[in-house]
Amino acid sequence: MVPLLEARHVTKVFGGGLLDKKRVTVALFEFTLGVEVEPPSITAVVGESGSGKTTLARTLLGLAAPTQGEVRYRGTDLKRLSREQRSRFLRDVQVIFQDPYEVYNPFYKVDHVLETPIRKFNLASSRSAARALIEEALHGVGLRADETLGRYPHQLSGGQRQRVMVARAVLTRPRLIIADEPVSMVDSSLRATILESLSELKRSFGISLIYITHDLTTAYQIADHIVVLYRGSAVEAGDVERVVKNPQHPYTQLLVGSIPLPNPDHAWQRDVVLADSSDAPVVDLTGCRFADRCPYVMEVCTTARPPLFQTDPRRVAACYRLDHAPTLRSEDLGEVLVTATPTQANTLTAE
Amino acid sequence: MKKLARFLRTNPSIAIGAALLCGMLLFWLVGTITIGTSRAVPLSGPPDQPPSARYLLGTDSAGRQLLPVLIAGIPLTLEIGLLAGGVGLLIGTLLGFSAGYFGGSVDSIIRTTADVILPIPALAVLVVIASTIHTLLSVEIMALVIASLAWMYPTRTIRAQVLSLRNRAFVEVGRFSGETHVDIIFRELMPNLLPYLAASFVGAVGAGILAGIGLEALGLGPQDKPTLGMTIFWAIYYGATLRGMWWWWGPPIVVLILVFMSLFLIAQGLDRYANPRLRRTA
Amino acid sequence: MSAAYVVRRVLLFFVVVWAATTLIFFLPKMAPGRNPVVERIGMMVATGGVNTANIQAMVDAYEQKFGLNKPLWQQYITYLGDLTRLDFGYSLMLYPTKVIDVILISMPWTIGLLTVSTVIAFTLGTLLGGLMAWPKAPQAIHYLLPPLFMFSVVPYYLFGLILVYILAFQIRIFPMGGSSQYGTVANLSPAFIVDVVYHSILPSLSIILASLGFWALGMRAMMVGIAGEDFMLFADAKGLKGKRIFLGYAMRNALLPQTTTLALSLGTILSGALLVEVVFNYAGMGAVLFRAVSSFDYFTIYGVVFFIIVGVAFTTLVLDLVYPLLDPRIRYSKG
Repeated sequence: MVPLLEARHVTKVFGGGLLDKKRVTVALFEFTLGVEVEPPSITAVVGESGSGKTTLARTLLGLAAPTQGEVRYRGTDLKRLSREQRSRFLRDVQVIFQDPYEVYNPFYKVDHVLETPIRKFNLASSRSAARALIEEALHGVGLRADETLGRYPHQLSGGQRQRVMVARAVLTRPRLIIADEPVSMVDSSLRATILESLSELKRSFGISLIYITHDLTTAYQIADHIVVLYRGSAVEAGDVERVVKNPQHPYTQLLVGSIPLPNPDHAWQRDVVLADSSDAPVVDLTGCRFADRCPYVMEVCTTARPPLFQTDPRRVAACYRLDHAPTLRSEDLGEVLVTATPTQANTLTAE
Repeated sequence: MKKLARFLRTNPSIAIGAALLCGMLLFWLVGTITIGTSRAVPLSGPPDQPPSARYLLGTDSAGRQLLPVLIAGIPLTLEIGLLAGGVGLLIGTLLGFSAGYFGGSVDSIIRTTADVILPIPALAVLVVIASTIHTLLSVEIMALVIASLAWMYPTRTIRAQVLSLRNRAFVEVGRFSGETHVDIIFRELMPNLLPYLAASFVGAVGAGILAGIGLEALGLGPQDKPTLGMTIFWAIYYGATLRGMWWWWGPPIVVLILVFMSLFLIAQGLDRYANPRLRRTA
Repeated sequence: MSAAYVVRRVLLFFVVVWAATTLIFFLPKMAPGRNPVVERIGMMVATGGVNTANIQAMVDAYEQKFGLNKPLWQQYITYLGDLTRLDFGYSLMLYPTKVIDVILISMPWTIGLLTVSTVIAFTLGTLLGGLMAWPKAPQAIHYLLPPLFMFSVVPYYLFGLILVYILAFQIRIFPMGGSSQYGTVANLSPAFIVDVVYHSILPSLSIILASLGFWALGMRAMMVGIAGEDFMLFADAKGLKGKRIFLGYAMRNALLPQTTTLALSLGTILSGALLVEVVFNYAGMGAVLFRAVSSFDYFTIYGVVFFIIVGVAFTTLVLDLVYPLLDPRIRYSKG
C-alpha cells in the first residue's frame, strides 16, 4: 500500500554556495520514512536542536526542497503534483507550527485563519454553515467561540492562539497533521491539555499525527511510535513503549537518562558519560554520526554508517553493538511503526 | 470618526500637514467659486500692476490677473504630482511585489534594471525628452514622463519590505489554507504594507511636483497652462526679478513651499506610523 | 577592499553611463515621426538668421551621420562613437562654436560653485545635525531645528529667487546675477577672484541654506539611533571626555550612512545647482542648458546632459570607492 506521505533518501544540505565552501551543514542525511495513516497513529520524531527535525517537517510539507532524494504524496513527488493533486494534498496534510504568534497575520483578527481554509476549500455552503464549522472546531480544542472570535492575535494568550491553530488544522479533516514543536512555546500548564486534544483528534476523527519535539516526556505521553533523530539520521525507531523503557542506541539512552526522576536513589545523569561534541568536523558522513560522543565507540563505527538493526519486530536501532540482529532496509522503516491492534499484539512477524 | 481624531492627535505631523493641504484646497475651491479663473488670461488687466484693491495680486507683463492665475495653478501643479507620483508608485508596487515575492530571475531582472537606472540623474533625461516633445507637453503627458523615471526607488523599497514579510510563518499558513500566490500578495502581504505604501505615495507626489518644477524652471512645462512652476518661469523670463515684481513670482513660491512642507510632514508622519521603531526618536 | 569590488564598481559606472546615453538616444526617437534636429535647422533656415553656407555645412554633416535613410542601429553606433570622443557637433545657437567648447568654458564655474557649496553645506549640516542630537550640546542649537526644517523643503532655485529679491534687490548688498562683473575678461588677478567670490555668494548661499536642513536632519536621525547603542554607554563609563565620544565614536559612525545619503543625492544636488545658475545667470552649465533649451539647440542639450550623467556617475563611483576606506566593516568583508 502506498504510504500517504513518504520521504525517500532525503538529504538536505545548507550552505556550500560559491563563496561558502567551508560552511556546509548537513541537516538531513539519507532519511527515509513512510507514513501510513491506516490505522491512525501518532508518531513522535524526537531530537535535540540541530538534529534536523524542523528541516524534516519542512521537507515533508513541501516547504523546502530536498537536496537529494524526494518526498512523495501518495506516490507522486511533491514537486510534480498537478493542481488537483496539490489541492488534495493540502486537504490531507495539515500543519501546526511552533510559534503561536508568527503564524498570525497581525492585520487580521484570528477569525481570518479559520475562515480562509473554509473559503478556499469550499468546506461550507453558507456563512452560517461556516460559522457552525468554526464553532465546532473551536469547541473541539476546548475554546469558546464567543471568547475567541473577533479578537486580534495579540489579545489572546499563547495557549489560546495555538489551540486556534489546531482548530484550523482540523477544518479540512486531514488524514495527517504534522506538528513541529507545537507546545514548546506554550506555558507548561497548558501543554498537557493541548497534547491531549491532539490525541483526541486521533480517536475522534482518525487523524494521524507526526509530533516533532525535543521533549521525550511529552512524546512518551501521546505517541504510539517514535523515531529518534540525531544529526539528520534516524538512530532508533519503533514502538514508543519499547524504545523509551529500554533504549538500545547510546543516544537514546542519553536522552532517556537525562529525564530527571524523583528517585533519591538514582542520581540524575550519573550513569551516562559523554565526550564533548563541540568540535566535531562538520562534514563527516562516513561512519556513525554519534561516534564522537559515544561512550561505546568502536573501530567499525568510524568507517561505515551503521544500518538499522532490528532487534524486535517493532523496533530498530542503528548501532554496531546490535550487529547480532538482522538488518532492516531503510525503506522498510515504516514496517516497525505499525500500530498494534488488539489482535496483533502478540505477532512476531513484521508485516 | 473618533478613531481618526485619536490617530491625528498621536501623529501631529500628519495632522499639521493635512491641515495645510486642506487649507490650500479650500483656498482653491473658494477662489474658483468666488473669483473664478476666467481672468487668468492675458489682457484681463493693465500689465505690470502691483497689488491693489482692484487686482489683489497685481498683474503680469501680459496683463493676466495674478490671483486667478494662482487659483488656476494650484490644482494643475497638484495634478502633476498626483499623476506622476501615483503612476510611479503603481509601477513601483507591481515591480517591487513581483521581485520580492517571486524572487529568482524575475527579481534579478527587476532589481538590476532599477539599480542601473536609479543613479541616472532624472532631470537630465527628462530635459532631453521634454525638449523633444515640448509642443506636445500637456499636464498629463508631463506627469507621465516624470513617472517613467520615478518608479525605481519605490520598487527597491517595496521589494525590501516584501522580502521581510514573505518568509513569515503566516504566509506559509496561508499556503496551507489553500491560498494562491495572488491571494498571498493581495490578502496577506499588501494590507500589512498599506501604511508604508501610503507614505511612499505622499513622498512620490512630492518628488513628482519637484521634478515638474525643475522642468518648468527651464521652460519645459505646458506652454499654455499656468502651473505654479510655469508662472515662475514666465516671471523670470520677463525679468520680473530684475524689476522687483514680487507679486508675480512670490505667491506661487509661497504656495509651493506650503505644498512641500505639508507633503513632507505627512510623509514623515506616515513613515513613523508605519515603522513604530522610529517613534522613539526625539 | 578587493580588486573584484573595484572592478565591479567601475563596470557599473560604464553600464550606467551607457544605459543613460542609450535612453536619451532612443526615447526621443520614439516620439512619432518627428526629427527635432532637422526641424530646428529648418527653422533656422526659415528665419534666415544664419549664414546659409554654414547651414548647408551643418545639414550635410548631420545628414552624413544621422541621415534618416541610415538604419537606426548605424545611427546609434555613430552616436556612441561621437560620445566617447566628446564630439557633440556644433552649437546650433552659437554656430560655429563647437558644443564641447561651450561646455568646457562653463564647466569650471559649475564645478566650483557646486563643490564649494556642497562641501560647506554637508560639513556644516552634518555637524549641526550631530550637535542637535547630543544632549550635552548648547541649548540654542535646538532652536535651529524649525527654520532648518523649513528651508530643507524648499527647492534650491526657489530659495535663490527669494534671496535675490531680499538681498540683491531690496537691500543691495549683492549683485543681481552674473558670475563676474559684466564685461570683464576672466583672469587670475586677485581683483577678479574677489569679484567672482562676491558674485558667487548668493548662488552659493541658496544651495547651502536650502540643503543644510536636509543634512542636519539626516545626521540627527542617525545620531539619535547611535546614541542608544551599548558601545556609547561603555565609552562614557570608561570615562572618555564628551568631545572625544562625540567626535570619535558617535559622529564617526553616523558619518557612514550619511555618506551613503550623499552618494544617493548627487543627482538631485547637481540638478538643483544647475537651476540655481539659471536664476542667477551664473556662467555655468545650468545657464548653458537653459539657453540651449530656449533655443532648441539639441546638440548642446545632449552635450550638457551627457556631462551631467557622467559627472554624477563618476562622483558616485569615487564615493563608492572611498566609502570602504571609511568603514572597516566593509573593507574586511567580501566587498
